Amino acid sequence: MELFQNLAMGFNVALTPINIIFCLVGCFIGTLIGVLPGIGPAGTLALLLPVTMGLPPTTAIIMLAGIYYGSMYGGSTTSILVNLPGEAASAITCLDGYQMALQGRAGPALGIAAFGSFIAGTVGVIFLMLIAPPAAKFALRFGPPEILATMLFGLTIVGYLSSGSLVKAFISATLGLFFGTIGTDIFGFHRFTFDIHDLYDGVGLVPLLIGLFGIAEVLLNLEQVITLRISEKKIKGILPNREDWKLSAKPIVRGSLLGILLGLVPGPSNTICSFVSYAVEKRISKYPERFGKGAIEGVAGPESANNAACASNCVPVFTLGIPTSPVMALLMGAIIMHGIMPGPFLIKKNPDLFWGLVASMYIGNVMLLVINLPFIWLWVKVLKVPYGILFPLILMFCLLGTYANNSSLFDMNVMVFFGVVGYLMKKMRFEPAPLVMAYVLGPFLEEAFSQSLIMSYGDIFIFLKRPIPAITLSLAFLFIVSNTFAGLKKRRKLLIEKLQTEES
Amino acid sequence: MKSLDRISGIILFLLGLGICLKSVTYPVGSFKAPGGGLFPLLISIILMGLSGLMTIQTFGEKDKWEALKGSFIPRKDSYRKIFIGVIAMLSFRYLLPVIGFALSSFIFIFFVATFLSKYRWNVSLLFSVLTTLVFYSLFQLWLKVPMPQTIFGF
Repeated sequence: MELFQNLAMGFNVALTPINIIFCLVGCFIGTLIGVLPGIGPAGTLALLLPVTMGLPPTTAIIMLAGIYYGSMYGGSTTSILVNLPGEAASAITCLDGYQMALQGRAGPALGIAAFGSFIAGTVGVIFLMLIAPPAAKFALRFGPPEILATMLFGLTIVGYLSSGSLVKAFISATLGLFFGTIGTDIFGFHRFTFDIHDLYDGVGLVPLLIGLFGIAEVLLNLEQVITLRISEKKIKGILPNREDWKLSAKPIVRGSLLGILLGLVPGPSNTICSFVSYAVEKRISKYPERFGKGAIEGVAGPESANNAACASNCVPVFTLGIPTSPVMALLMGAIIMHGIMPGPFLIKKNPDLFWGLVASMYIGNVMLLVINLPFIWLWVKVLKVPYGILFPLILMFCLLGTYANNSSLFDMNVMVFFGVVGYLMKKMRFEPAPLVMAYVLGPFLEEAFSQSLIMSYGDIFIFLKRPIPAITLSLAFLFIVSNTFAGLKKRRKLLIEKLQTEES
Repeated sequence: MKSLDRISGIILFLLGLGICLKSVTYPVGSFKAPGGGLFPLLISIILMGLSGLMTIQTFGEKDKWEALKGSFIPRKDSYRKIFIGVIAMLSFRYLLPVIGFALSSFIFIFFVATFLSKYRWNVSLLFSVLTTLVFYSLFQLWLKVPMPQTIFGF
């Protein structure tokens, strides 16, 4: 069968010494940054992107992907041991995971998180493997109007799912589109460069990302003193017992399914999956009062969901060339930097990249199981490093990494600029994710827009005359409108309440 | 929060206006033959519309977010810390081509460790020396990242 042939080729690629080594490096670094609060996969991928330029494309993507799903494993360790999520997606694990640690059951909690992540991660990769090739074939039927509509829909969903005001999320996206126009356009014309030579190639994805996610995060953390109180109880017995497995089996399965479905949705899907999984488990459980007091289902479900979502997140990138989150945007950026065009043709033209990645994700999941369980003591030691020592190192890495990307001192200015921008955005409750997504999509959006207009001889209603764009854009519109109505309903309610209290 | 939203709304509106005015100086073309200025023009119009909407919203009901999170700046010395951090990073960037990688890193780490992490000067000194050695070996000796020419000529 063609699938097995492809998979065999993939394993051939993934099992070469260089790919195994860099898969391991990626998984290790991923777990490390997952454990450390304050630096996440987006910032780390941006930092290591320049390092991967010297590597062959498949090896680079394998390592970067390893960092991504590795961080999901690492994030659960801090949630359980310290009640502080290393990753947003692991935040919900704090609820029951930390309670289990306080009861002296940190071992089984960590164990089930690792095993659940492994099973779910594997399910996710199987899903990716089965869905992506036929989806890519379907996507080949997409013309510029369809691509534009899908990108706009993706941006709308990211905005809709961002915390805070919808207007602010869209402003964030619009700013991202603007930053994407800075530089030389397809006609060779310089836009918004103000005669600064360094801006001719644009602002730069690496400085923007490192600034927005790395520097801004450090600046935010400088405002408060972070003290971590690690659960002092000794961790005995990593392996969950039979009772634990009985309780966790179904949550793991449900979590995996939830993860692969919600992972397809643009936005912070890992975080959303884990929260939804927790809510589902609590609803379904016969003893919901156990949740929040150390119920192992509250760890098994969410941890499985966020890992399954990692693999399923890759589907839109490899089929349509549309990233669904900043991390995916970076992965896509890495693919582009290596001279490979993402989109429906990627699987056909570069099968070794896709199938090599798929095979390495299987291998990576096994590696992570091995890295996480026996080395818990190492991760606990890492957590004990005071933030006062950590953040200068992070800043140093950011500065040097940004410089090394293009040997450009100007990039450091850009990074600091976006660091301040990111800090201000967070303080003013603007989400940075729509900005990054829009920045990456901007040039493609403009191209699709221009091509659609040329195709239709200037008719802007082409987007409503073709079925797929009409449907996707209407859905996006419905999302926006539904939010407005919800807002209106709430206002009416508050107004009515106000009137009633005034009367009485 | 409301007054901040109002200020940021106005600033964003002015930014949108600026982008709009600049984009019409580029060849906008038409819908039939789009030029380089068309897309930025549309973006600026959307930005002005959204920021205008945000500003108008601040004249509406009571701020729901007020009750939830804390104030804009939680502590008095936060402003100072952020400022010091930014100055430190920019100083590193401007010192690097002048006095070289090793010295700039040393000064940067020492400065940050003393004034932001608030370690005693001898602890900061040790930390800076160690860090500089590690980063030097990593970036110069192992990765061989090309660094700008300094006044010392190396």
